Amino acid sequence: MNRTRRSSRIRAARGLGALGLTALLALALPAVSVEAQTPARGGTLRIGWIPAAKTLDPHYSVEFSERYVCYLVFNTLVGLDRGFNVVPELARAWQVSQDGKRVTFQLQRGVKFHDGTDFNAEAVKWNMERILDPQNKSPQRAPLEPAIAAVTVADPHTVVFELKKPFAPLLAALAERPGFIVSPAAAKQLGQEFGQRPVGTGPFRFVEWVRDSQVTLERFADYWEKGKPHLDRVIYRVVPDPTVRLTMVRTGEVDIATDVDAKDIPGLRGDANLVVSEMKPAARWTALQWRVDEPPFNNKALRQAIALAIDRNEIRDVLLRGFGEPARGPVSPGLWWSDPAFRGIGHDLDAARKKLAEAGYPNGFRARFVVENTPQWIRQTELLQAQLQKINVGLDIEPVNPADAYSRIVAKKTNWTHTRWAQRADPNGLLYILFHSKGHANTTGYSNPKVDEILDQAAAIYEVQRRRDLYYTAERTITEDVPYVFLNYTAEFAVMNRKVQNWGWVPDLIPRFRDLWLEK
Amino acid sequence: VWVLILRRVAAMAFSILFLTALIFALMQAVFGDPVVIMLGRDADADTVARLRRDLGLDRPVHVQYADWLGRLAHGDWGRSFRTGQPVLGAIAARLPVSLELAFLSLFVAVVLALALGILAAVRPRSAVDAGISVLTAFGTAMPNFWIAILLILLFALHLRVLPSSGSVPLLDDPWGHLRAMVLPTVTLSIAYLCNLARLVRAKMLEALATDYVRTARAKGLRESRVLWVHALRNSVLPVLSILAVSMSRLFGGAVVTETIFALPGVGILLVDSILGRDFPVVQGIIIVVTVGVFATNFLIEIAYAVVDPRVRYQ
Repeated sequence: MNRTRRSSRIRAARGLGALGLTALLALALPAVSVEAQTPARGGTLRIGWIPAAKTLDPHYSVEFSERYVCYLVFNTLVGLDRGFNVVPELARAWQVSQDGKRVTFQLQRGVKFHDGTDFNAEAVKWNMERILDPQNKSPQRAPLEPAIAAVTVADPHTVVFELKKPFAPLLAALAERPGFIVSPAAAKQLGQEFGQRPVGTGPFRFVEWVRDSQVTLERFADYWEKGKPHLDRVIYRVVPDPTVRLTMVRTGEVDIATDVDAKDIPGLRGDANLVVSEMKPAARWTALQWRVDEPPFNNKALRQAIALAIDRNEIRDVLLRGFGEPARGPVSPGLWWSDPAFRGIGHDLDAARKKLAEAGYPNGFRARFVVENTPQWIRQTELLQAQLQKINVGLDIEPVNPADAYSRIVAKKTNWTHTRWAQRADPNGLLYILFHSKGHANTTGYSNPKVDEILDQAAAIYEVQRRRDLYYTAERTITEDVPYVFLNYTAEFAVMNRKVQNWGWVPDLIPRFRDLWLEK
Repeated sequence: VWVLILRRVAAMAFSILFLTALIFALMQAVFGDPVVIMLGRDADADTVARLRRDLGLDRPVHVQYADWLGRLAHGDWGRSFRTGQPVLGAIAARLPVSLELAFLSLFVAVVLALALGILAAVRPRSAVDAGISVLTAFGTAMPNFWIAILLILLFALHLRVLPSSGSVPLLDDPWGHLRAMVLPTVTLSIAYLCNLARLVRAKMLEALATDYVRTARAKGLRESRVLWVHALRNSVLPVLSILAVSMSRLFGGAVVTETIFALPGVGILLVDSILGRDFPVVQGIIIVVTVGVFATNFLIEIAYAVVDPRVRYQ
């Protein structure tokens, strides 16, 4: 259920601050040392895959696990590096016009789709129009529609995006699902079947998908990035049960398992055949959310009281086994729009009690708390229940089916609950959809004209320095208004066989595998 | 027999109508909005509304149900909300795996249950009997997801003789296929096996104490003939009726087993479809399973008549 988005190389090059640069270097260093070895060609990489894939058509993809495959079969118009910066991919360069309303992309030459057709400016135009056409009901339309007025072909290798307004987050969006380029010929020919037999320009060609069993991909010999990929085949094996997934890495039946629970990490670190990789900076955060436009939480002092009463360190130590970090706001540390001076709300029981009295509840109160019925969320809720009891706030826990949790929030059947989001490569990605009054994932009823104005203003600025200052202010204002109580930046783990070389996280948590190789 | 068949078909049709109507009724009362689940957290409201309209989910439930029933009458099972695949095709692709698992498990359960039950009954209150009783009590009491995990840890992780999970197509690699089916089959059969073995033991003990067995022995028949022909044939009847009852339970167990061992069967499809509120697929599976359970029960009734000449159908 987590979404991700990206940022721009041009912007990065123009104004990436010292902070972002440090993060980038920190991420790049281990990768460089590994890349010093010569990659071996060949071999089959097997990944223990989480089920849930419905379609491999990226323009209709909703499930996180689908993107594991999409990023191998397809290329995006622009890419992301391990530091979350937008880098060239199918577009080798781009320029933004003076007024910020036109972006011109120069495309790679000699790129072929797996069906043998040519990738060119027409294909880009066709892909964008496919997403934008409301008849097609693509879930990827939301990030593009407010920005793009038209896509025109200047010449076979140059495509121009005409924008309705200057819109800096566009590039990052084009590194994510809206930016995937599918083969127009295959998509037209296969129609609804395209999601079962995807055709792209990516490093691996689709071979077979046995539903709920496995997806097989093989090396695309005509791949345009010379010398890549190193692997011959990639097999995603569906393993729904996390215990079985870990067993399979230990027995060598699969080479990599992701989505590993923190509680299993100490046990795995003792296995000499395995390597545990932790994602840094934290790619996800957890939070509590409520309806700020309905009683009882339309009371800011009450929201602040609860935020102050929560001990995030305890949550980290007890539930996350010491991994991760207490959250200050919606921006994970290490991202270029994260304010290092910002401390967040913090934990202070006396202040919490004062706020509670100020809110009109000197003797405390009780409220219904909806929780997804999984062991992980139930455990967290029980801990919160105990913490909030200290200021006399009682939680009546109501478990719901995880599959229904979000639709119940949208239908306003849920007032107070927990949530979790993944970082995207552009600040607008999460901040706009969650906290702008018009954001399509704003399910709290939060509306602060000042925040709306800052977010609108920041999205129209291409210059990183000025944008960053605006997002610093936005994060402080949002955190103080408490539409969400930010809990923790969570740790994410992958466990792999020792022979897997050059593994690297992109902070959207989706492995790319084109640089990865297997030691013989 | 024809009257019987007609009566069974009518009962089956009624069950299907009742079950599918129930699902439709529950769908808006209890379940979440399938469109929000399908489009996720990133879609805009306009796209959500458009898809809801296109799938006909904006209409009243009874209209949706009548429409679905009307199409079904014309042989159109519809398409999956989530994948766009034709429902019948999606189920047909999964059915062989589930059927194979069910029949293998049933076979293993019946054969071993008879063997263990008879063994225990022949020497009542012996060490063998006690051992079998303890084991079968244990097997009946253990939930099968737990048994599955224990089997995986033992055979895949420690002994490394069998794969942890997954399936291999029979035609690609018959041996690999069989190896992959061992743990799921054992997991699914254990509860039935243990239940049946206890039943066989009790019924055999009962039969061995009857007058006709004493008569048979008095006639000087060989003990093996007394056991296999006289006693067993009479104790097998209740076993058949238990089998009939457990067909639906077998399917329930298959859902869990398929999920843990990642076998791409109907069980996983059903769970996924329920979680994803994929109603056309859920309805399709309910029909297929209902027909399957009715058909097996019918076959077992016939088997009953074959085994017991006193049973006659009017």
